[in-house]
Amino acid sequence: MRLVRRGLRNIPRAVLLIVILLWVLVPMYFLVVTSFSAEGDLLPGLVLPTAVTLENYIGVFTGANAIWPALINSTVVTLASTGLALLIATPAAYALSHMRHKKLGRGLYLSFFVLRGIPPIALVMPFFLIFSRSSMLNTLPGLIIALTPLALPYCVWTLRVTFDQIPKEVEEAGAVDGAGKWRMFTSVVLPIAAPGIAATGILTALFIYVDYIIVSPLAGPSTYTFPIYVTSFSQDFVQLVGPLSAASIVGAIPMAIMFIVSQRFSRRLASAGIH
Amino acid sequence: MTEATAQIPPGAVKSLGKPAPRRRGIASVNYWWFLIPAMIGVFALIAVPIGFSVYFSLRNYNLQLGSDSFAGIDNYVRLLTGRNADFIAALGRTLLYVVVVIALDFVLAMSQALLLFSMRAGWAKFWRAIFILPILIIPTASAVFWRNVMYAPHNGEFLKVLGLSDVVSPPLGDPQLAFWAIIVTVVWAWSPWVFILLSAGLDQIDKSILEASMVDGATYFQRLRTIILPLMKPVIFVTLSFKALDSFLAFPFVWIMTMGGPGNSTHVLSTYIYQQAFTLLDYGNGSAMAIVMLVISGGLSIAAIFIWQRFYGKEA
Repeated sequence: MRLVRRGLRNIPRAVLLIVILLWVLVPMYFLVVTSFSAEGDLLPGLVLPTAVTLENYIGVFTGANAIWPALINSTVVTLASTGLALLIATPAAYALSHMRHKKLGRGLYLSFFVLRGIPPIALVMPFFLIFSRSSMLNTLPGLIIALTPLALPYCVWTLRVTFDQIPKEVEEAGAVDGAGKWRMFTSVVLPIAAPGIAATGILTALFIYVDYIIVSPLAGPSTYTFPIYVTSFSQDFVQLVGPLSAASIVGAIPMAIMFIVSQRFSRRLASAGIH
Repeated sequence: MTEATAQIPPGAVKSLGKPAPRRRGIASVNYWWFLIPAMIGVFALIAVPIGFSVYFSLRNYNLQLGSDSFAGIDNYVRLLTGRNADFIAALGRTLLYVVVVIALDFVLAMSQALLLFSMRAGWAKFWRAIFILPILIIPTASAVFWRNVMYAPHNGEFLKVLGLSDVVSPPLGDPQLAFWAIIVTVVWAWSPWVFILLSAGLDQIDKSILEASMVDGATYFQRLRTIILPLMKPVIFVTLSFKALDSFLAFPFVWIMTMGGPGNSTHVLSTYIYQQAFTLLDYGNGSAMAIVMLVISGGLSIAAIFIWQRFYGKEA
């Protein structure tokens, strides 16, 4: 009797779970099936496919329109912008963490939050006009420069929390040993903050990797990143859905790696933030 | 970072806890030197470009017409007096988009988080991995996929699954439906970020309080209303305010799926400005719109900060 009652209580929960699973997985199912289907085959609804082919994946890796240049560009641009942003954001976040009990320090910190909300469209237009005069359109350095301001405020904002969590005793011990401010930062604080910096870096990289609005006007045929490469399949509704789906799934692999690696820190980071 | 940037830093979600310990001993030392690289970065990479935007917004700079002359505040006057009806419509639609997206994201993500909350750890981990699958597909790929497969003009899978393919016209070609069709895609693709943050917040709740209430015989919805939601309020607010601010900047889904069409019926601010600048080459007007958008976005950010401070006090 108790079992039955417990079963009845779980029915709404089970129904909800099934509805959510359908919502999440049905589009996923079509994406995967399309990536294994021959050119232009769309399923007649939610059924099993009749034939499976690998030609879309082979095309993504070897064809004339292969994924490699886009993936290489994405990797270079993502690593460089994220690295640059972390390099200048980390000391600033450290300073702001020390200044957080002063009015000025708090105001500066909050101003980075406001900077985070700057519409990318307001940045990409001037970058486009500047770059078109200094022949930096369609260059990787141009993309790296234009993507860094997106990452910078976010890094400062997130990293301060990491530094806030370092107990003051650590630095006081360093101060007793007579370490200068810079030595304290590089040899005492940074090693402790490294996991937090890594997690921030990975999440930043994730958002730089998927950026479209900044890269799209500034990139040219030789500097297309992965998100732009994917849109090259959008012209043809029928012929290109297979390669598109295959490319989407291949492009999800770096996302998954970044995600899994960041989970190692960021569950901790998230919970540390929420404590 | 745009919608693609529904970036909600985990570190920002702080609440339900003791204030961080003060560090008085070293607080007196000066840390200005550490701020200089970031100041230079903000100046060169943000202030200078925005300065250029302001400069161009005061000019009739249109490469299509070949005009480039000083215009004073004409561009702003035209926008703020509502003579550009499309801009006003795009602004209104952006706000509607923000409200609808965060409402749907919240309902979906909160249901997901609450479902996992009552499960054993192993299962919760498994379902969590399933629920976040859509964010692994990058936004432009999701957008093209939904446009060309789920909403395809002939035989779109979305309508076929719902059994509506003979009843409803292809959603992206219909001015009444296109906007909502985009929102469905956005919620599918990016709500897992909200789920991740809400779920992390929920895990912080002290389960012993809940067990005590179960002994008292409270029903699930009573517990939800009187214990879980009040405890979650700060996390929910921070998460949704980040999501709202980022949704205000939405770009890739709308641009890829409809380019603002059919007949301007789906333009949000970012896509409308993008079209002014990079399709119509009207950089003067585009810059003025971008500056107006920047001011609104800045205002919303500042409003969010003020409300946070009510939740956490000034320390946050």
